[in-house]
Amino acid sequence: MRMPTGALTLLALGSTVFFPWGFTSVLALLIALREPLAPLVVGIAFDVLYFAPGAYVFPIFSVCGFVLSVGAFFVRERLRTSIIR
Amino acid sequence: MKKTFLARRNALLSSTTSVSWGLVVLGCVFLLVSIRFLAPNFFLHISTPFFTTANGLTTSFSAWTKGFTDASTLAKRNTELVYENQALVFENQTLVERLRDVGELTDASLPEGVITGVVMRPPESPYDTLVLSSGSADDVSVGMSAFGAGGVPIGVVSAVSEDFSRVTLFSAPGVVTQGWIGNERIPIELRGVGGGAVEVVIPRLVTVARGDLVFVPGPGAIPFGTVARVSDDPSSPEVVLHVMPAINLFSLTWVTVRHAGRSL
Repeated sequence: MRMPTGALTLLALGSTVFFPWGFTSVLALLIALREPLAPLVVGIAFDVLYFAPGAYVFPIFSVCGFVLSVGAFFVRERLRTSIIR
Repeated sequence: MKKTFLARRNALLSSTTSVSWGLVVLGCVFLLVSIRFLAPNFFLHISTPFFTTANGLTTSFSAWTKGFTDASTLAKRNTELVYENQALVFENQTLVERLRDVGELTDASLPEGVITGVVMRPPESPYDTLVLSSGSADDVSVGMSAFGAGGVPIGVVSAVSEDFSRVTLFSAPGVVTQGWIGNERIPIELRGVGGGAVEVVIPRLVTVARGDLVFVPGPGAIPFGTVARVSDDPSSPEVVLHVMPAINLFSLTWVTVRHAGRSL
């Protein structure tokens, strides 16, 4: 049974707290195939929860999430190319 | 003749006929952003139960995976560690008594500080930061140094709210800390690379070996870790030392915070 898109996005958001960040990042990339905004959601959540002054020059996870979401948008647009309904 | 329909579709939204869950969750995250900046203390209060639950799940999972290890090996290692621990406790007590004796002669005193619990730590945090359960109400201020068990310095307090504070660890990417290495106390710069790792770049002429102690100021030279690996590229005039902190940053449960004359 396919998992609803909303549940997958909430799972990605919750994993920012409960799982190591490497696992969460991979999860967000996989969910991006169904929900392109998932990397952006996860990136902003990482910075909201964990960013501190001096930890890095800028909130890099938000920037990376934005870039990956834009990439997922273009990939998703190209994958669904069927023009016959 | 078959008609071809070119359906216009928005590829950014996962669904155009019903609610786009991506936008809903993104809205919730922006709400969290506004709470974080407008009421940081309240934000950490509502986040702490989730962090505590995550820590509990991590500990339980770690204990469960250890159950698959050979029991006899674990029992043998446990016995060795108990003896080692007893010896270290006695040595520590001896050193504390000696320091107290010296203090009576020179009017020096044992450093004090705020002992506080760790609410959140790596690897959940991708930035090598800690969230502590003490803030300005407990006399914690920005610029104070954080020390782990045994007085090992681990980072500097970088943000404080009323009941919580954030510590940026020395291993955070881009953090540069002055220090020394070896018995000769050769001056070095420790550079954080993330994931609890610290690197030192030194000229090839400097003689350094695996296992050499690395010190940071705190005040005086305090052991921070040891050289775990030396990366030696014959074409480079420098060598890279990979330093392993003396404390496992992934399992910190409490730290001591006090002024040590350091900043990020």
